[in-house]
Amino acid sequence: MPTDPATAALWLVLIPLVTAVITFLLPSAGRCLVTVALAIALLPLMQLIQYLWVVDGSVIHALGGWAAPLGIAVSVQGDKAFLLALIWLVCVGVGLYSLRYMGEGYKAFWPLWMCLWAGLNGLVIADDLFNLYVTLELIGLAAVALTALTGEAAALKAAVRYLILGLTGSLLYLLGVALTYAAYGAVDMPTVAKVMTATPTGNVAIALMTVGLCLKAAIFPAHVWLPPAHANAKAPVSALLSALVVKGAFLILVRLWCDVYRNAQTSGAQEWLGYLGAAALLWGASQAIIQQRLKMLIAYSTVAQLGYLFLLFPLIPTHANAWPGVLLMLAAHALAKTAFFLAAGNVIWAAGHDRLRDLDIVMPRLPVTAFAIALAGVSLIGLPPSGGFLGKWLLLGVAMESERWWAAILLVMGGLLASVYIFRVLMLVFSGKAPSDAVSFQAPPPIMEWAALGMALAAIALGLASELPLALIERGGRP
Amino acid sequence: MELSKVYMLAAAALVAIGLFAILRTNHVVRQLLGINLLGNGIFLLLIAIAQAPADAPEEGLDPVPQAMVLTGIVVAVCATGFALTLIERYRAVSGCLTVKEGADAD
Amino acid sequence: MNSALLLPMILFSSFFTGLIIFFLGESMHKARTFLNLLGAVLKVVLVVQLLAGVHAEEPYHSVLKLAPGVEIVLTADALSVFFVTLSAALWLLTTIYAIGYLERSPNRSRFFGFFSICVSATTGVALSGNLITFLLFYELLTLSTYPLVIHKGGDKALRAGQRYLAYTLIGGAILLFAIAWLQSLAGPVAFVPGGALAPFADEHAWELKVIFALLILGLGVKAAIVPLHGWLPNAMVAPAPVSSLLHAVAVVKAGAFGIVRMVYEVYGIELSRDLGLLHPLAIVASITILYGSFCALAQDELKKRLAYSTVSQVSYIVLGAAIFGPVATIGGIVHLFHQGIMKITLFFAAGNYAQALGIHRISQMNGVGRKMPWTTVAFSVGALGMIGVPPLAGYVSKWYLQKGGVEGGEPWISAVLSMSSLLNAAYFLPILYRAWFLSGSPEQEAASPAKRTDWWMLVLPPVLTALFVVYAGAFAETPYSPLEWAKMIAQREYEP
Repeated sequence: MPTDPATAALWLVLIPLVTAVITFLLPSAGRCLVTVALAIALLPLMQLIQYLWVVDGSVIHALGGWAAPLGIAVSVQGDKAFLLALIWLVCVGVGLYSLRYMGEGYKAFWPLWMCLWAGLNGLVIADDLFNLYVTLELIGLAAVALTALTGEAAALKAAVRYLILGLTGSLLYLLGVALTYAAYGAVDMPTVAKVMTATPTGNVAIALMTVGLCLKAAIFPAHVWLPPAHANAKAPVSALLSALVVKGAFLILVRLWCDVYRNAQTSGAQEWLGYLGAAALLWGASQAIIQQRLKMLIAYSTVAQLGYLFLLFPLIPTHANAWPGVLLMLAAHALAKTAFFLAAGNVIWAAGHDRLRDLDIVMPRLPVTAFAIALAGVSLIGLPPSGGFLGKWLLLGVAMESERWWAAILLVMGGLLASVYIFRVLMLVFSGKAPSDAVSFQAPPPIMEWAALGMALAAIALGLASELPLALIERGGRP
Repeated sequence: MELSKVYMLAAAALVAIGLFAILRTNHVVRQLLGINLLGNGIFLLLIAIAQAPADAPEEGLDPVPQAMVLTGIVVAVCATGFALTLIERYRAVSGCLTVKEGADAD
Repeated sequence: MNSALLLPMILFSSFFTGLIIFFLGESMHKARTFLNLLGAVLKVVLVVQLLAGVHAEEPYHSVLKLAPGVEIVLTADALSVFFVTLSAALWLLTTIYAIGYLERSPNRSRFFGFFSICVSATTGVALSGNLITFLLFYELLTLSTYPLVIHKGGDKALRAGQRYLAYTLIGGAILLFAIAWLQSLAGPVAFVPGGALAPFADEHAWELKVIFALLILGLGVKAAIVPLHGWLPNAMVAPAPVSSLLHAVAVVKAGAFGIVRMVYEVYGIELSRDLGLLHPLAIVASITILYGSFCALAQDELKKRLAYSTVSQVSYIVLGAAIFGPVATIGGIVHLFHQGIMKITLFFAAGNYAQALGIHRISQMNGVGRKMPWTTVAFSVGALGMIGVPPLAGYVSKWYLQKGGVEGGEPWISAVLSMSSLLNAAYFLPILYRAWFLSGSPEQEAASPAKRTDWWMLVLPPVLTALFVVYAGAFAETPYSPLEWAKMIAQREYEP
């Protein structure tokens, strides 16, 4: 195992990548190998966090000894370490669940998932715009393949649509990267940030990258591909897509606007991202409220929750609490949404369908799953003491400090709208309808129910123990 | 007109045609072709950027964009191959090659 | 005992038992009963210890830091201990009552799990030392009572539950907004005797007024202030022990307690007066008192009449907070306790009528006094207390409120209170008359209460609370009576 913290970051990309190759060659060993990989990955992760904790610096590594701008650099600061840990945690929850859920017919799941994980870790640590493109494509293709895993018509259709929009998005991003290089002669983010001055080419570049990433991040009105893709995939896949994949593009957007193009006179555009967030919040929640299928409801909830991340986008560089708040919201949503989708998988396992109307005889028989949904709901609504509450509280403070009353009101209203669709599901538990034996009911394995509950508890614990993550986020500062 | 300008104009044309194809049609294979055109346009642009400026020919070719194009082509080949497989599977299951908006629930 | 541990232990004595109860099988009746009683008795023991400590002015303080400016703080001052004692004592009785009441009904583990968490949330509301902590437990209370309200299942219960959620969640959202706003003006706000906002009054007077209105709006939903009371009569579909809990111990009280906290320990009574906040609050409370009583008159369903009576009575507490002067403060705060014990007596009795004779309507109550003497005596004591007949508990609160109104320069309060007492008499006395002096139709007369060996579990709680109503009224001047505590609280609020 690595002794140098900088190589630890690279191990986090290598471990899943190697596992992907091996599981591809030995499909029947997928379960074991992935479990081992998840366990091993804990070592470099802990090493990174420990290093950042003790040294309070930034870990920078130049690949192959070539320093930027010619070479490729990766770096890890506190916020990135936090994200790496979050990705790992979600993967553990999904992994535990998939041990039982992913049957023999889904051998392709393991290598694809490992590719996705490698791509996500790479996206978090990469410091260069072109590398980000490569990780985006890796994530995008793996995600599309995972969506199509069931081979059903609806899933394939959603996957094709996702693929076309995803490829278009990443190519628009690549076009922006090319123009950035034309304008500033570098794609290494810190270098570009240093030489950045507003030029027409540079402005076109950031505009193209933003449009491409918005497509991938499924921010309103580019969200249309998301609900069918997330709702028709297998439950662990939906969890990965909603919890992590859409956040990848968002993270790049934040780094572009807040680190690289920080000095550009383009604040008007940033405001618009905030307005899009507001629209996503309202549209996603109102769509979630009227859905007839559980997984569609959860998918639209993702559209709404992404809105929270964008709502205060323009304030991220200027307000100290904004970035920690956004990160907490992001993490709480990732954990809660994983729990929610895994729980939905249990419901489908038990009932054979996810039509809300007919679930009132199934839900009372799944108390652990119902609890998972309830706790995940607490975080999604933003009730104390969940991670979702704490994130919202920090953002609310920022919104009020900067006198953005519309954003503050939306933050509170978003929670109310979320409670409407969450309680639409929870009400089914208390329907009082006696479970009859006439209805086919297949009890899900306990590990699947507990994996969902574990993720939901993590979303709550994130709020109760948020002092640690918040301290970690501050470590090493922003590049 | 110097070579890099020609490249750039051609790149712009390819990008425009590609985007037009993606937006205009509902046929996924055509959309995929559009995506490939868009990608090729970007590669051409990178090649053009790599050309030494006319007033300082002694600087020679910039290797970084060329490396990007190389990587990009690899990614594009993979993506296209995967996309064609997926589309073929979709055609086999559903019997059509378009993805209509809406009507996805149930 | 270590004073830093005492408060979390009081909180968790019911929380953890609640969590364990969830995982007990439906058939493990004995284990569940044991755990329920263990949690309840343990809580009472711990609270008694706390009571002694606070009386001796020992400081209690436990902090859990979550984020910059977000701390979970538990403190125990005279006011919070007052509320904690009420909830712990009544919870013990309600637990006994609920065990008897829900005998052989389905989903008992779920019920008692949420029941315990609900009481933990109430304790948390009482012990919270700052606004964020208060909000946390206030929302937890909403979530844990929702499953209790809709426990019976069915469309009617679910609809009532929806209504309950709609009101309380919107109230919670408004509260969240107000607290966040307050924090952005004044930093983290802790509960301090005499209030903490006076330094900001000059600069932000306008904002503070708006925030106060929002706070009252958010808290008023649970305190059932007119016109925010719409959920309460509907929530009567819940089983009787839940109604007792909602009305006497937990939800409604949490709202009223919150208003008292805001007026005395966030704004401070003097600042509230100087900002001109008290007078409107007094008017709102008076309207609620009269409106609730008028509505109660029109109800034939016993539990609904009691529900509207709660709407009216809880605003006595708000009224006490809204009049400047220690006497009115004493009247309002002591009513927090008195209303609790009187109302819970009435609900226990109403539950007994429903359980034993299937009586839900007042028109069916002819002659129940002879069939169920103990229950009916308890009911009568509770009702007479509500009317304010001396020497019962209600008389003491009303007397102090009346006197406080005169001293605080709001003599019209006397008229409101007399009017309310008349109305109370108008809707309670006919019930007592029916129960004791009228006889019902032949088939009603023929029906007799089912014989049950565990009947004592249903009769003992109302009798005990009724006895306490007499004690709190007749021996109001003895040490450790609710009145003496209320006096101590008022003294500490006015001379911080």
